[in-house]
Amino acid sequence: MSGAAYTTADLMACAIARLLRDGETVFFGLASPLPMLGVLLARQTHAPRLTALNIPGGMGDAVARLPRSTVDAVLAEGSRYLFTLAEVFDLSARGRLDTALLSGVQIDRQGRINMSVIGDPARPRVALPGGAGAALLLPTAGRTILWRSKHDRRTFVERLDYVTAAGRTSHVVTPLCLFERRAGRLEVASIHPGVSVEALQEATCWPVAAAPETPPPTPEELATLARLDPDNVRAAELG
Amino acid sequence: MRAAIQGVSFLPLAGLDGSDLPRRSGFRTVADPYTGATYVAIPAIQPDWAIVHVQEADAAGNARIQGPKYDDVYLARAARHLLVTTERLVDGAAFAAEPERTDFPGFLVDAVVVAPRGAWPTACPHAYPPDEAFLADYLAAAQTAEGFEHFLRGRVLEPDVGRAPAPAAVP
Repeated sequence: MSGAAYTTADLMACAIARLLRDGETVFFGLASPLPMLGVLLARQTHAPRLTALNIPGGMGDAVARLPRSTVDAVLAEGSRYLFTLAEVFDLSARGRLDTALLSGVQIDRQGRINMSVIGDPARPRVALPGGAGAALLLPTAGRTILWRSKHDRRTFVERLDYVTAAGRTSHVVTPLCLFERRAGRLEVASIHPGVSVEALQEATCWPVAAAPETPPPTPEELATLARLDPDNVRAAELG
Repeated sequence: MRAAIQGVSFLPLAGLDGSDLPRRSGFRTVADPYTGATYVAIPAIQPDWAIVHVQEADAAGNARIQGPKYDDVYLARAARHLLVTTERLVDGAAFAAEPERTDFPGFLVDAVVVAPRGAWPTACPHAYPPDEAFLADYLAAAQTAEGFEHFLRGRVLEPDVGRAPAPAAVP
């Protein structure tokens, strides 16, 4: 077993990449460095025929270096088409988007998300950035993989303050574990190395159970991550 | 915006199932007259003005984007008036040679402003990348109202703003 050092960001990017399937159509949107990297990693490893859709409009084969922003036009350089965001929503609405990669400020056990307000919706304490299309994508994309750079009780809640979006959540990737939705509820599929089930329970408002350890990044995955993201843009979310 | 583009007051939308947004936004539903399915009726949004920045325009107002278009064409078509700012003015013959590349036909454009580096400090594909140093300074200054005012006066409203030495152009 490799003893190579890796970060939580590395592990989360790998966890996302491993869930993606060769030949499928996948979308990531705003403020999404980990999914962006996960998509790039998947394309360079087991999923070379992944169709990667995003806000700039596509992903060239030779994206040399991860930009800081996930809407940077440089992502689309070398792409043979530019497929706009409006087209992505249309694609999902007519049932042709396989996987969406989305996030949420609060996530409940059914995999629903809140990106709208914290507190009583009639008199909110905090106005959040908003749904950014999640309300459309979550119920229409074939499946949605959620990721979240925090894992605590304010994030993985018993009850959302507001249901921004609900739908076909299949997995949630967090700094502590991987959830999989089974029979409509998020269950722990794997726990990351070094995380105890007690710590996981402390951080989650619903019951969690012991699960296999998340396989750490392989040397090949780590080398590919280092090549794709030498500036470690992926670490910014987890800081 | 599509509803505004099509001259209707709403368009039906597939999706949004299970979200609080339609109810809390006061959106209504419509029944599909052919199938009976229920859709959310999204009200039209019609801006008074859209302002888009392009790389090339001609003196007749024809304008085109190089690279990703994001939502600019929708914005421009939905709005009552359109202002185009352009990196450079080019001869109409360049547009006549490739009319399929024209995103904003001149007859829909109210005015063209020649504004080199008009997107600064954000990026303009095929021209310049984002000015990350300036944006970082702005983000730091804008943490307070006083900081923002000071920044606005000293770094934005002063003469020669935007003509700072250009970073290497994006090919």
